[in-house]
Amino acid sequence: MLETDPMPESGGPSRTKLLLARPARAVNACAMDADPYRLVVPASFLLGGAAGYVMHRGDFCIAGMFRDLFLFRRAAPLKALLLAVCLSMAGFEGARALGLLGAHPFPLLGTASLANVLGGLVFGIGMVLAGGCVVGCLYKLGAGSVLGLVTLVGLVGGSALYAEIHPWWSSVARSGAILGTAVTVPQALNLAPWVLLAPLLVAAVALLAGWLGRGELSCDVHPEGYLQPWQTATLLAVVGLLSYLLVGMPLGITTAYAKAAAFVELWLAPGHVEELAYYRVESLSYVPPFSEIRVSGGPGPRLDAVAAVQFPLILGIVGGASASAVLLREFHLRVRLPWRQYLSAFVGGILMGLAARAAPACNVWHLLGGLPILALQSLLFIAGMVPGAWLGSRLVARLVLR
Amino acid sequence: MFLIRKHPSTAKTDHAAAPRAQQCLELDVCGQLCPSTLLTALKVVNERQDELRRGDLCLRFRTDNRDSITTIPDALRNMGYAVAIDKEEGNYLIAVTAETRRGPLGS
Repeated sequence: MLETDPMPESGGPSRTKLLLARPARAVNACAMDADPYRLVVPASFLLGGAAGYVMHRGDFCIAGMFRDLFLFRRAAPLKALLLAVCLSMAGFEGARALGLLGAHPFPLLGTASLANVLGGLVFGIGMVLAGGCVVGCLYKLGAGSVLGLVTLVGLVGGSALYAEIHPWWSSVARSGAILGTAVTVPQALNLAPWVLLAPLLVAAVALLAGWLGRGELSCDVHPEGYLQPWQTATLLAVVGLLSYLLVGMPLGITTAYAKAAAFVELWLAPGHVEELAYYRVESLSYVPPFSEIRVSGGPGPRLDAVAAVQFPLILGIVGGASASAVLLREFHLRVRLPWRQYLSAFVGGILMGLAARAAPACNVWHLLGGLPILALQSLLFIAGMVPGAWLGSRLVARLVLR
Repeated sequence: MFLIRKHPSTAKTDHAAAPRAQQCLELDVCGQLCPSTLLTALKVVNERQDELRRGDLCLRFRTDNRDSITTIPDALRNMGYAVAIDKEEGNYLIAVTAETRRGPLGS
């Protein structure tokens, strides 16, 4: 029996209950139904492939952007990130105004809690220790990084750890809930989104135009097959918009790690999985684009809407990065590495897995998905992630890479 | 925080007159955690700067980290070193010598 947790993917009152309360046109499918997923699955896979390819070519590592700001005072990559955020902002708002988006705010995005800050903090530490974020480790894994694989194992482990503490964390997040049922800043202020987005975009365009004109979003010296930062940022913004249009939400993958953990636990300790309330949570309920059937899913060990959206996306990212690396003859496996780095990658993965469930979600979801629509959860997550990255940078420089 | 110290002299030197390095030290940082390549390069360059500046030593860093190709050349050029980049068997070789005249930079 599916249980609707009052604190599903969010840090506030249950949106899931609201979604389930709407009359569904047809069956609320728990099993994979070919009809609503016929576009979602291939779109997720192809968009993941594009993202993985582009990120490898441009080495668009968001974790590295924040880490290198603190370690080397290097801000240039963050300018490319700002470009991606602004293009996404304009793209999402334009699509919303044209009535092209099925749901706005998009599914899996919840209300705000101060717990989002703590989740972001732990995530920031973890992503720097791991040498890459949740998506970063995937594209590096695709290029042959053994440490990326170790981080992936840690991510699944961290997600499993979260399932153990979910009841406690849910109560913590509920006690820190703020701003009621508002999901975005415009909603909290009762304003149309463009009222806030327009001046932000004007200011950002002025900045970006200057940087682009001075060549600050390009690199003169670069590896083979390189995609310049402005190119990578633009392409990722396009991929994110296409994901919103075709899948129903921007790029997001972290619930899938919890689902993978659930499957592993089901195999190892089926009785224990039954005891964990988290795996019965239904965090996603929506009508996919170009479908009229409502689908649902969650972190539990079943093939459902979360599996349909996120598993193909993960496979696509790894596949796209692999294709890029193989074409450049840069796919290599190295296993003889310092033990500290193996430990750091694993611990970083554990922290990210834990934080991605607690926050909830990851930096790509919040920076390239929530931030462009001024989601409150995303702003709070980022507010925690940045100092977390600073702390992680101190740890990695003094303890891991000394 | 790893400081990138600027070299006080920016005078050009005659490439043909520059002494050849007598020892070349290669460090393999392939597969390592980011930002190992850049940190290793800065650390070793700073530790061996006397030998580098005398021309007794050249350094070669073998890496598969694509981001380091965009960061190391500028960082080390600002410190007064010449940097050359090559690709070999799918890995990148970053060669560092003490010549103050900018050497060829490859992509």
